[in-house]
Amino acid sequence: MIYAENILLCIAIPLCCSLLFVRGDVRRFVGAFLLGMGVCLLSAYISGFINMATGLGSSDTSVFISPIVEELMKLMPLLFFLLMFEPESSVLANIATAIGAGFATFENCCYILSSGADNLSYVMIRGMSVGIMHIVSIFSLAMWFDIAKRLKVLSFPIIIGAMSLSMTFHAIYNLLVCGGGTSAIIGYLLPLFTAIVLAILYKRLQEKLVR
Amino acid sequence: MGSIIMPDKYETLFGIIGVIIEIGPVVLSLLVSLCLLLCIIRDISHGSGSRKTILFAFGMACMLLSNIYWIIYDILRSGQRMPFAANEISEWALFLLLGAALSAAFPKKDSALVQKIFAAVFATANTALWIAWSGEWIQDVVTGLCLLYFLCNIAQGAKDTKALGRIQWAALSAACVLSVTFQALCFFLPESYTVYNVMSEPLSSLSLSAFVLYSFVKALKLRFSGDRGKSSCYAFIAYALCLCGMYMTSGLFYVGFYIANSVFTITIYRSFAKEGGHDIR
Repeated sequence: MIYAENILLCIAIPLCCSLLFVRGDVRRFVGAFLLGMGVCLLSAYISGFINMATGLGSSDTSVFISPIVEELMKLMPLLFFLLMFEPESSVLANIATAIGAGFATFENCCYILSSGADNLSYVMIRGMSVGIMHIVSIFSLAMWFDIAKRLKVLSFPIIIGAMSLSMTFHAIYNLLVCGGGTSAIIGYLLPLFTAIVLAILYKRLQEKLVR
Repeated sequence: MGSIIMPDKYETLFGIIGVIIEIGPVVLSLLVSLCLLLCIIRDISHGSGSRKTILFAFGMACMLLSNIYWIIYDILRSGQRMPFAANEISEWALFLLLGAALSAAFPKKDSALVQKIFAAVFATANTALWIAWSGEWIQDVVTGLCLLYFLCNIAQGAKDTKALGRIQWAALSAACVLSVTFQALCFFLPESYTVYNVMSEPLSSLSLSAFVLYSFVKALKLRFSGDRGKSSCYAFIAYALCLCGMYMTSGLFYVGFYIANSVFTITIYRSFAKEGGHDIR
């Protein structure tokens, strides 16, 4: 049993304090990072509630329901920011990365506190897989929105499409990791591989924009 | 004693055939969506991507990930019933994106109220059947709503392009009504009507496949005669009917509709690709 709210408070207070001293992009990044952590706590509550209400079991809930809840919760602040402030492509990418990083950081903190951090290789695998996966899934969402906005096709079906894309990616990761053995290894490598592909695509997209 | 003992090599052979039948259509659908996605990206980079093609491309991306999820699930948890999962949301998104692509392709001209009401009744009947089979209310109702949006856009497109004449509308309606009725009767007839219970699925599939085949041939003919608008409509009708057939059937019929569905996805792309007008770039 861990007290997730207390952990959140402990990490959030210095970050909130830092908001007083930073400006511009950094302030936005820290704010979105904090939002990501808050969203992580909320999704844990919702997944826990669904687990209790449906009786699916914690394993099935984490494989089938958590990806849906977590990605939906990560989408909310990003969508709000996108629709309210109509940000530039780079700002949207920064916000998305910060929300993903905040989410992954808080999840990793809670996980490590509950199951221990004595095994370095396990901690490294966790950081390199789940940590990157949360950033990749929300960054791909931001890229999807950016492309749709640029091609003037941003609409309700596009938003649902983007959401489904990140949810399915997350669900594929969870399914692979839960399988154990070779499938788990593929699962652990999947976010890293996708991150590299996304980074190349993003770079090419930016170059096209400059031209 | 007295039972047939199958040699090991035949058991393996049947096992392989079973796996091909189970995963084959999904792999085919995955390959189709991947190839079409790459083709559309190439089209867009050459400056020939219209709004509808882009929406179609987003739909293909959803279809691709949904298929990958299915294949992984089939391999890792073979034989287990899948609870509500993320790939269903991808399917909803696919319906919505295809519907949006249709509405971008055929901006509303005439009122198609009667056709839309019929589409709504057909989608509701399908949803009721899914619920009766699976008992999963929420996801079936949401899937039904997305299907309804898709079918309404097809009806609007068919009306606007005047792709279907009176006889074709009547034939399409008859195919839809018959397919649903044959399936629904199973719930009302007593279990002693074994012959009917066995025959309901073939009869339902037959009524749908007749119009699917007609739509496919018509879509190809119109495509070659240069009428891309009408060709798209017929391709979408064939696609949607196959989809309904897939959700209504099991076993070999399901596999048949699944494969046909993948083929019609290519037909839709062919009728959409490099079409002039409304280029957003």
